[in-house]
Amino acid sequence: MKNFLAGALCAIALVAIVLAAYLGLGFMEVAADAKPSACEAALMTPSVHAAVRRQAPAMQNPLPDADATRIAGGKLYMDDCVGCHGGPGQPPSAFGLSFYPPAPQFAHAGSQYTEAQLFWVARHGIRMSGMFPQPHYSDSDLWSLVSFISHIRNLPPAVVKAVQASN
Amino acid sequence: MKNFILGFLAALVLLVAGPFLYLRLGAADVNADVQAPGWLSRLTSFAVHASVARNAPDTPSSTSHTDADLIAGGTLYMDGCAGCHGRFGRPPRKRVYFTSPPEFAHVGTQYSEPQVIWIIKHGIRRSGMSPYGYNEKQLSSLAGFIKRMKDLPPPVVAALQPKKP
Repeated sequence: MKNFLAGALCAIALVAIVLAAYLGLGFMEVAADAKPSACEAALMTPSVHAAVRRQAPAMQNPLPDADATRIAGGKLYMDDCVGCHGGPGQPPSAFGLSFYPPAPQFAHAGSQYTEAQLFWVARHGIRMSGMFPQPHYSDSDLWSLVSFISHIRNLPPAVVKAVQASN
Repeated sequence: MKNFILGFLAALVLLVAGPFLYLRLGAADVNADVQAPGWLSRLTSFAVHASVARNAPDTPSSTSHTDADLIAGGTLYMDGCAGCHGRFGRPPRKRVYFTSPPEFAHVGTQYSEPQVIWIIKHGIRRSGMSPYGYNEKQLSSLAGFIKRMKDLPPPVVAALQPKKP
C-alpha cells in the first residue's frame, strides 16, 4: 500500500512538472488563426453543450410564437449579433469564423439549443470564447431574439423582408 | 515495485479521466458573466505571455513613430479595437467578464511592440481576440499607438478627437 501511494504521488508530481514546463516555456499555442485540433473540438464543443444543457433552467418562451415576435427579435439580431453569427440570406460571417473557437453561423447551421438554452447563453455568455454576456437586454427582448435565432433557417420570406428592411 | 507501478498508472488514469469526465458531463461552469478567480487569471496570463514571448521577440521596437504614424494607428484603433479595448480619456468601463479585454489607455501593456503586432496578426485563442488582417505598415502604427496609449502626445490626442458636426 505504501508503494502504491508512492507511485501515485510520483505520477502526480510528474504531471505537475510536465504541465508547468509546458506552460512556463510557452509551448501552449495561443495563435487564434488556426483551426482547433480534432481532439480539442471533440472535447470542448460537447463539453460546452453539456454544461449549457445542465445549467440552463428549462423555461418556456413567454412571448407569442408568432412572426411579430421574430420580426422584433430579428431587428435586434441585425443590430447586435449578425456581425459574428451571420444573417439570413447572407454568406457566413468571415469575422465570426476568424475567432477561436469560431462563432456558430446560425443562418447556415442553426442551433442545437432550445430557446431557453439560447436565452441562457445570450444572457450569460460563454467563457473562453468571443461570446460575451449581455446583461443590458430586457428579458422580453432576449426572448424575441432567441425566437428569431431558433427559427432563422426557416423564416417566412415576409419576416426576412421586414427584418432586413429595418436595417 | 509492482505496487509502485500500479499506483503510478492508477494516478495517471485518474488525472486524464477525471478532467475528461468533468468536462464531458457538463460539470464545468461556462457562463462568462463572473470574474475568473485570481489564480486562474494569473496562470492564464503567465502561460499566454510565455507563449507569445516564444513566438515574437520581447524587444523594444527600433521603429520610432512620428505623430502622423500614431494618428494613423489611432484611427485604426478607434475603428477596430476601441469597441472592446476602450477609448482614451474615459474612465474604464465596469464590465464583469470572465476575462476582460485589457483597456490599454488605463493599464497599458506588458507586451513589446513586436509582440503586440504578433497578437493582432494571430489573435489569442480561447478568448475574444480574433486575428486581424492588417498590412505591415498598419500593424506597426497600430502597435505603436497601443504601446503609447497611456501617454499620448497632445497633438495626437487632439487629432483623434471625434469631429463635431
